[in-house]
Amino acid sequence: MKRILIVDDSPMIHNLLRKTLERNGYEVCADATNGREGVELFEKHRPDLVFMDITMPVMDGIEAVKTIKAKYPEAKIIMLTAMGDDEIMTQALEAGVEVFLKKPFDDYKIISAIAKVI
Amino acid sequence: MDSRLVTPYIESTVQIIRQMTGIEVTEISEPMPGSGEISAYGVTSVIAFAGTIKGRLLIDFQPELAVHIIKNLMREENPVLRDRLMLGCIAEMNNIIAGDANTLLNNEYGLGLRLAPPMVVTGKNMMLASSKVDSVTVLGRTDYGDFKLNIAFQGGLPS
Amino acid sequence: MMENSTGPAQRLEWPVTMFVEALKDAVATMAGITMESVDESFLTGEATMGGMMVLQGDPSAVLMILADQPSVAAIVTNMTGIDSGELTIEDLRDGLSELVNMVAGTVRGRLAGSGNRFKLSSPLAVTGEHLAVYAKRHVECSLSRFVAGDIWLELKIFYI
Repeated sequence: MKRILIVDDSPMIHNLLRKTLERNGYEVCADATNGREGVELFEKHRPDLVFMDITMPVMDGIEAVKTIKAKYPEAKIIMLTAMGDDEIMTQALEAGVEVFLKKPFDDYKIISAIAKVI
Repeated sequence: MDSRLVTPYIESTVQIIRQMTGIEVTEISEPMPGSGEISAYGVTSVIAFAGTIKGRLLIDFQPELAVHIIKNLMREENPVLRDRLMLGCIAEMNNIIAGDANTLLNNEYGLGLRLAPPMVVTGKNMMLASSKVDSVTVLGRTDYGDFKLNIAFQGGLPS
Repeated sequence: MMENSTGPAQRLEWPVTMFVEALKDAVATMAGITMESVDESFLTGEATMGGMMVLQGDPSAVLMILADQPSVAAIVTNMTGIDSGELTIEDLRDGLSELVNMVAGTVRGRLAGSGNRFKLSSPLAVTGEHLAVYAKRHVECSLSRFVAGDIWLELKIFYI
C-alpha cells in the first residue's frame, strides 16, 4: 500500500484528503501542519508521496520542497495551492514539484494527480 | 517570531496612542507566541501590509478604551461606536501605527512594506483566528481600558 | 461618494462575477453542494461567522464570506465526512478560512495575466454576534447571497 504524507496547516484539508485517500486504498502515514514539521516527518517516514501546501507558518511549502529535494531528489511531491498564478507555479516547479493540485479539488482530481506521480 | 519584527509595532503603538490621544499605556506585556486565536474585546482594527514579506497588524480595544480614544481624537463627548466616522478614527490610528513601524523596518531592512487600507471589525463575543501565519500577541493596559496587539508575518528577516 | 485616490487613470473594477463563480465552484467541488444565487432582499439569518482576506492592489478590497454556524457546519461536514455534531468551532473557522482563501486564490490566478494584480493577506476568521466591518475609505460594497436548502452564504467585497 502506498504511503502518503500530508503537509497542510488546515485540519479540514487533512480530513478531506485522508477521507479520499483511505477510500482509494492509500495509507496516510503522517500529518504535518507546517513545512518544518513536514521535512522532519518525511525523514522519519520516507513516504511514497507528499501532499504539500504552499502557504504555511514556520516554513512554507516551497522552502520545504527545496529542503526535502536537496537530500531526497527522488521524493514525489504534489503541491496544493489555492493560487494558480504563474509566479507561484514557477517557483514550485523550480523547487522540484511534480504536479499541482489546485484548491478546490474533488476525489477525481486528487486521484488523477496521484496517478501522474506514482 | 523574530523580535526585530515585533518591537517596532509595540513601540509605535505606545508612542502614537500617547501622541494622538494623550492616553498613556501603563503596562505592556512581553510578546506571547500566538495560537492564531484571539478572543477579542470588541473593537478590532486590522491592517495588512506586503513587501518582500507579508504581514498583518491587529489592534483590539476594549470598547470603553475605544470610546476614550475617539473622544480625545475627535473631541466628541459621546461617540457612538457603530458610527462609521468614529470607527474610521480607530482604523486611521492603526494605519498610522503600522505605517510608523513599517517605515522603521523598511529603512532598517529594506522590506518595501506597503500598507493596505485598514478595516475595523466589531461584534459581541468575538473570536478571531488567523491561519497560515506566525503571530505574537501583546497585552496592553491604560487607565481607560485594555488592548491587544497581534502581529503576524509570513516570512522573516535574514538571520 | 467615492474618493479618487489614484489620479486620472481609470480604476479597474473588481470582477464580482468571478468571485461569485469561484465561491459556487469551491462549495460544489469540495462539498458537493450547489449554491444558488438569490436576490439581496432574500432574508437570511444573522451572520455569526465570517472569513475575510485583504486583496492588496489597485484598488484594494476586502473579501468576506459570511454565514451562520449551521451553514458552515453543513459545508464542512460534506467536505470532510465528519459528522456536524463532532465538528469544533475551530474546524468551522478553519473551513471558512480555507473557503475564502480558495475564492481569493482562484480569482487571483485568473486575473494574473491581466492588469488587475493583487497580493493576498492571510485569511482571518471571525465568530461572534452582531458582526460588522467598517473600512477607512469604505465607499462601495458588493453583496451576493447564495442558498442551498437551509444553507446560506453571503459574499461581500468592500472597496477600501
